Amino acid sequence: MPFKLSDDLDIAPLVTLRRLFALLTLFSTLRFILNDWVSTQILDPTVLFPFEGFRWLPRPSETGAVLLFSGMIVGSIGMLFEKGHQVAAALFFICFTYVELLDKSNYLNHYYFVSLMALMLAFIPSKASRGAVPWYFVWTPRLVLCLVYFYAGFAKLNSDWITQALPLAIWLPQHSEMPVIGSLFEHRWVAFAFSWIGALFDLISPIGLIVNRFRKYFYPILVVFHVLTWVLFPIGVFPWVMIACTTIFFSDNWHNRFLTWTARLGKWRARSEQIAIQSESDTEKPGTFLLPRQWSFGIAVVFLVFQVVIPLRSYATPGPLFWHEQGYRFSWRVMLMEKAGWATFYIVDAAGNEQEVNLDDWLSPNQQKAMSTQPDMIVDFGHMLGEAWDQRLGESVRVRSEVWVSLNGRRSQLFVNPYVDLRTLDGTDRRGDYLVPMDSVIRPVNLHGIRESLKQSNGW
Amino acid sequence: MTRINLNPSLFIGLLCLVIFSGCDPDGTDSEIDFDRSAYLEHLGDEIIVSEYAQMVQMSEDLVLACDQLTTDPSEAQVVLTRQKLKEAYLQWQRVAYFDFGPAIDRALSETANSFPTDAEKVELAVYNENWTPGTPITLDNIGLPALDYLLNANESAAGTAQEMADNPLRALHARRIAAYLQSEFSAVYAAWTGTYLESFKASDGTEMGSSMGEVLNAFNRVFERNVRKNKLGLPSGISTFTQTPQPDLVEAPYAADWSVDFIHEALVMADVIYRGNARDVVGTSIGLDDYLNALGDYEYGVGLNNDIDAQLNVALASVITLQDPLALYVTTNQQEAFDVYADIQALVVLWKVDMMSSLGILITYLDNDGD
Repeated sequence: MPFKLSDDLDIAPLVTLRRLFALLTLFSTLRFILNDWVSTQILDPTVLFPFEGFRWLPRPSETGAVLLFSGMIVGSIGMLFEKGHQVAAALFFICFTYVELLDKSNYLNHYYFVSLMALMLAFIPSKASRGAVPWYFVWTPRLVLCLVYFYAGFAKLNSDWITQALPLAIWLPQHSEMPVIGSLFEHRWVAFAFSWIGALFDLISPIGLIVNRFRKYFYPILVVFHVLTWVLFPIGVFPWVMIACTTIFFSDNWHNRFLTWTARLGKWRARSEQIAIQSESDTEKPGTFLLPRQWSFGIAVVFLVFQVVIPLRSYATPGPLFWHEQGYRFSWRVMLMEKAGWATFYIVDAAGNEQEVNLDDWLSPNQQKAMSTQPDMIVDFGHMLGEAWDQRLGESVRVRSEVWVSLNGRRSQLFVNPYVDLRTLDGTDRRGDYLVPMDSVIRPVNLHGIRESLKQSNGW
Repeated sequence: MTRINLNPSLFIGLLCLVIFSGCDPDGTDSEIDFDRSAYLEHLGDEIIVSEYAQMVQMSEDLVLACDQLTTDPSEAQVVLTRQKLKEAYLQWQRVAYFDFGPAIDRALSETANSFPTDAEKVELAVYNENWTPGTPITLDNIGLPALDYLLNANESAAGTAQEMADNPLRALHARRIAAYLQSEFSAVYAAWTGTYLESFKASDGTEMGSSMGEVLNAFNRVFERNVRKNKLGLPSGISTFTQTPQPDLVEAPYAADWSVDFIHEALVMADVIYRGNARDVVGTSIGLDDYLNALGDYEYGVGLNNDIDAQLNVALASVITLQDPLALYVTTNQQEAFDVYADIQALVVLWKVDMMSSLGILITYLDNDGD
């Protein structure tokens, strides 16, 4: 596929992508609403954990939430239509991303993927009647998909996954009661098989999808793989999003047949014929776009460079990534950790007296779960508590925390230095003497004995 | 033309199966040999339902004793009623852990044991002919803590008998409270023996809302909040800036010498649930310890069970060093109380963090996606 800047490709793969994506986002939005997650994740929590750089986003009121979710529904439906689909994609992108930025507790890689997809569809025209688009319009989403799989696979090449089959060795046996294959999950070798095949699958996905000869064999494997993950793990619509989006690698021929076939369904028939006629006598010449090609190509390249670079952030911080989680988000690390924690926070007043905070007054169960294993959220929460108590007491308080974390089946150990004032930390310097190194294992029974020396060495 | 065309995906699949079936990096193919449905059956039949049956029985005895108190407000009857109250109170420590399903539906935990009770409100309720139990405003003047006040506030049994003789409404109110408790326990018991038990046993997965999830989330929640924090932490002063002991916050403050027994019983019951040792049942003792041992990995299986086992013994031994009246002890021996608290806290970490992640059961009772 050697392309010149002026080369065009059939638009059909993008049309399919847009329509399938729209159906899934519509389904996913309705599911979110029906599960009452609007209340439990956005409206009910006392505090939220917005992403760095987005703390200024106003927290939506009930009306605001209705507007945001209506925007997602309208945007999803709009993406199904030939006219105005880019505006619809932009609307969906804004509303969806807004909600995702409100609280780190709810971060999921697949939400990030949905945001990226919607962003691309806002920029890339995919009106069937255009007939053709510059080649890089089709290849940008394709390459993003390749990056997702590749990074997901590369991240699996860590010692827990490869040499211990963790966390799958913990998760799979839960399904031992499943009919037919359930008993297999009781065997450790099955966890190894799943781990290794999973890593291999992710790593070879780009080749399997791009190379024509492999695709017809690879795609069924991909479907089986994703359906299996859907059966085994609570990962929502993600498998279906990937199954749908990877059809963009299919041939133009396939897509044209698919579009004709879908168009033939019922009422759409008349309309599709109209479209067919339109596309023959299309007045819009393929390749006439708002921006000159040099520009749009440049934007695509910059976007892709970002997609390559963003996941690499996770390699910038030394030390075990699963422990410090610096750059963990947005790096396509999926299903890699069983990390559980329990955090207690203490407010310390000027006189040195301290009080344990009742977390239930502050955080939803979901937020507690997310916060108690993620260092930046622990710091964020420390700041929130500190500000609240400053106001209550009319003096400047310190906030410390005792957090116990168990990672991939290891016994729980002390996660953060319990005698560091969380308020002296900001979002960036949360390592150093704040996180207890993963290899210095302090168990709950040990802490009691070393408490005094810890206090002294930290000047408490 | 006929040609055998081996589909490469099938080929790769078969190849992988062949490779992996011969591959066992640990040298032992650890098969997980734990029967979750057997565990649920044991837990449901022999522990939960049986404990609730005891609870109903003891609450009936308590109603009967209160009933006799209304006609015979004697010192001996007060002593007997106090004893029945203590027995029911101890039994409550055992069923409190089953705070899910029918118990949640009836808010049993709030009705039975919201403490501290508001003595003034109890006094007012004594004179309220139209007293209606079960409304939110009665929560801080109902249940076992309110009975502790009515029966034990006057330390002398003879004195209490005299109060009840002088004002028959007091014994009548005690009976109303006991009767309401009894009806709530019976309702929860009936729900269990009705349809809930069967569905409880049938839901033998580990997904959200499965019985394992319900049992363990409730277990951890009750142990962390109701036992660790409410029974010992708050009275010792963990939530005050000045670390001032809060003797008023102990459980059953009027009886004075019951509080430590209750903490101990709560730990004993945590032990029962963990090891699956139902009382009066010889033979079966399938428990969470067996589950961990069956996981086939030392670190998060057998090793974890060893640690929990050791810490559980430490905590049980440590709790009996506490002395009644606990309200006095937390004031005079606050540091010792903190030491016991630390031992219980260490168990919370092992159960809530380590065990839950080993068993792969989602700790939150809120469902949402992961990735």
